[in-house]
Amino acid sequence: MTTLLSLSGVRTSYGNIEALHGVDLEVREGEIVTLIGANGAGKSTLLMTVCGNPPVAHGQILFAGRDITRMPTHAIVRLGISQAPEGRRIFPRMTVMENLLMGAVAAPPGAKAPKPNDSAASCEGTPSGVTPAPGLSSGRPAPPAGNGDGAAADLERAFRLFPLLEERREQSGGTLSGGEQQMLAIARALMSRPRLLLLDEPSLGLAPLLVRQIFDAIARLNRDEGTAILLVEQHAHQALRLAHRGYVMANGRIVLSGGGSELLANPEVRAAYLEGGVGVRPAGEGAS
Amino acid sequence: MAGARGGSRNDPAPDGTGALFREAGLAGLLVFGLAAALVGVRVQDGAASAIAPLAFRFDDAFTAAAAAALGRLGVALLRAGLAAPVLAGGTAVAFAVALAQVFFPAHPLLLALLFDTAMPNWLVALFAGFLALAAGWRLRHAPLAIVSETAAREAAMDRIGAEVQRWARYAGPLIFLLALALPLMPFADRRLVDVAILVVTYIMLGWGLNVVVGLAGLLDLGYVAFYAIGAYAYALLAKYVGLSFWLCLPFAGIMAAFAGLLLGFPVLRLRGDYLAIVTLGFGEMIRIILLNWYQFTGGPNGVSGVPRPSFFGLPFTESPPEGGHSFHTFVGLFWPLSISPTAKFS
Amino acid sequence: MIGAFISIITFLLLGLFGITWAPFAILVALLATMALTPLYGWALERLAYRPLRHSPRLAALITAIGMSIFLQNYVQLVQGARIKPLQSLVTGGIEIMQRGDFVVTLGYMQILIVVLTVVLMAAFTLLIQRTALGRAQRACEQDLKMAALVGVDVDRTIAATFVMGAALASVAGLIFLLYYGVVDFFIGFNAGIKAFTAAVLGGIGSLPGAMLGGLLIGLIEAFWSAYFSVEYKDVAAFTVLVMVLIFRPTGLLGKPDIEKV
Repeated sequence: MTTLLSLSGVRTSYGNIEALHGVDLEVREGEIVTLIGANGAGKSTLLMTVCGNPPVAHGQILFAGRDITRMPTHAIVRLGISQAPEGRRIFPRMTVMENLLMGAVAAPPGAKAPKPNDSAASCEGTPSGVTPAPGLSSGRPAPPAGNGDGAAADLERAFRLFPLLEERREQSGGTLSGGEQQMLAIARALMSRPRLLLLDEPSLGLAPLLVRQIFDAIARLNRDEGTAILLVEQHAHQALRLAHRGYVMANGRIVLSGGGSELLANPEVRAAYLEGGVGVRPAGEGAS
Repeated sequence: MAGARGGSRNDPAPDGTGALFREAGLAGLLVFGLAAALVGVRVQDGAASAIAPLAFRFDDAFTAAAAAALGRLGVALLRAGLAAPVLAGGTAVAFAVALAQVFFPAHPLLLALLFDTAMPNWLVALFAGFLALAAGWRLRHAPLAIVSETAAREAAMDRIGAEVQRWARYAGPLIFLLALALPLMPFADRRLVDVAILVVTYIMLGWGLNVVVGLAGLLDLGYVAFYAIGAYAYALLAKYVGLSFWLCLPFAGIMAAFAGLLLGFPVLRLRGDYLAIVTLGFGEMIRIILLNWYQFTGGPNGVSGVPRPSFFGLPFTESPPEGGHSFHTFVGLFWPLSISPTAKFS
Repeated sequence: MIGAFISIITFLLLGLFGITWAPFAILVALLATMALTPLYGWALERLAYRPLRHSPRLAALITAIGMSIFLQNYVQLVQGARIKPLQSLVTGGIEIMQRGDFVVTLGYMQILIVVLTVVLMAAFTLLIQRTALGRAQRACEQDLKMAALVGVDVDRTIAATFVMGAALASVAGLIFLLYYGVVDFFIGFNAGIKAFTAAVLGGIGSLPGAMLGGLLIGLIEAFWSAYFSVEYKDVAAFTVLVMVLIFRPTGLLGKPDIEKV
């Protein structure tokens, strides 16, 4: 698998306080990478840094072979990196529909290529070992439906992924519940047909059932459309099960990395993030 | 001349030359668009409008555009690290404009090429000189290995600020002594002292504003209203009630404070922008009332004949009253000779 | 103010060429002022506002006041401080009713102003509510950082907003010139304060609110002038503003802020 995103020696600071002290990280095509770590370890900063805000102080970020280190946020996003950031950040005085349309701002213009029907999408199985859909690894995923213009097809896909949003489409974003907002944030991030999706704690503050739905959606997205995902999670157990690979962050540095199951088995990780940590679920209950 | 000026900077840039020139050209176009109507055409008024309603000064609009384009080019070159041509060009332009302005201010060719009035020409020369200086600095010092231009600028500003604060500690008392000594200096004529008194007044205004905006964090745009209230309180009390300056001093303060209380209570619930606009409105209200309440405040004519302050019956006047002393004759201060005997401080 | 000056310059230029046919002259002036004034809006944004994008909001407010003073002095410098008169282009009107000596007429000028206002209002409402640019503008207003994260070019969107605002203001200047027949460099100040007052009164961020606020301010001033005194009409308007802010800080039609969850 080719490298999609790579960070090397990335340092960032807020004012005079350095938040990332030289981070190396890599996300390959079609991969789910989970980033875990304690609060304040710099996970959200890392995701925001990829999008150019705060700017990189030292180091380099490459996306699909291009140097995006100094690019402005909107240009980075238009290359195919999409983020559902910390705190969801739904536009509160816009309808669900308008929020989704805002997500489509960065969609590649005129991309109407047909795509294999994904009616076979189902909810079983974890994606570990699943290779991305063939033919998608070199370009941005095409819209799921062959007809209609790009945005309409993307909307359709968003509503299929989160049917609840369709019922709420004229409701204003600020009045949605937390779970609905989270779905909207993910759906909005998907509207631009990203090659890489950055998700910052999608399960934060959600009921277990909703958490499961969200994780299902993430897995499905990765499996069916080959979207690479960089996931920051407090539900470390679940997230690592989902992931192909994982990184552990502490104090602005990557302290551990490895395959998802490898990290799950690592005694240090178990001690620090899994046992007695947030969101531990009984062993044996899978992510889906 | 514009072409010649540009010529000195036409050294080939390693890359992005086109982009640099496009940037400069766009700046020039923009400024021409800005200047074409408002600078290029002047609506005549008064007697001149009977002859022709409009006067044309398109040459100035072109000059503005050329200056903007060149300046932008200089800045862009500097940003691209090409300091040498900027140094040469900036120096050349600065000297050329300054010399032309000094020696041939009315030469028709220069009138056509430069602005018709001196001030903008000096600004152009100043900016060109500044660019040249910046380029020279850049040539001598390698660009700092700081992340971004903004960070570098902020760091430099922090340094300058720290330096200023360090000096302020020593300069403050010194300036205070100078201020005390100023009226006694031989060169202190009335105008200078007037200006100095105005400065002190502004310093007091600044202190007050600092309490409200700086310490309390409330942006009060109507602050000067209290300035007016204090002034009118003294003027009216002294003139109509006949109270002395020393009695009026606390009174004026109390009245302004009372006005502040009246405004403050209802308004303190408001946040940032709203507070600003309400206080701005309050300031306007006070102004309008003072201007229109003719019987009481004298309207736009103001209050005249306000009694001057005195010190235990000793007036602060230049010539002592018949058979008495004025303050300065009593304490033995003598005004320097440069003040004409009839001048009185207002 | 700048819009009004560009308009009067256009009218006088057209007059030099002998073109005084009102509809054509007004159309040309409208186009000229809507083309040139936004350049000032754009330049202002670029020079004075963009560097302060991440500063506290009060910094931007103070800059706004500073820039308005700067522009006033600039116009005063290049155009002179005296009032510039323009002979009225549109005269006459429709007589609506008459009783005795008392005639109510509706001037063609008044009709023109109302029509122009309504058309522009409709156009800009559509632009804000229905187009991608309008959505991007609202997104920037609600969450600047997130707007950038979905790929909105924040700088360009804000510049576009300044351009639009300047275009609208320039039309207001043209209308002022047409109706009152005079301009000077100071017409903007009072108008600016009144506009802000109207917007706050109606509720910031609400278009109908701004219209209602403007209507109320206008009516208050008119009635106050008629029944009490002309001199204190501004005092009355500001008093109402203070009252509204104290009892309903979000304005008449403003919605309370929805805090982010």
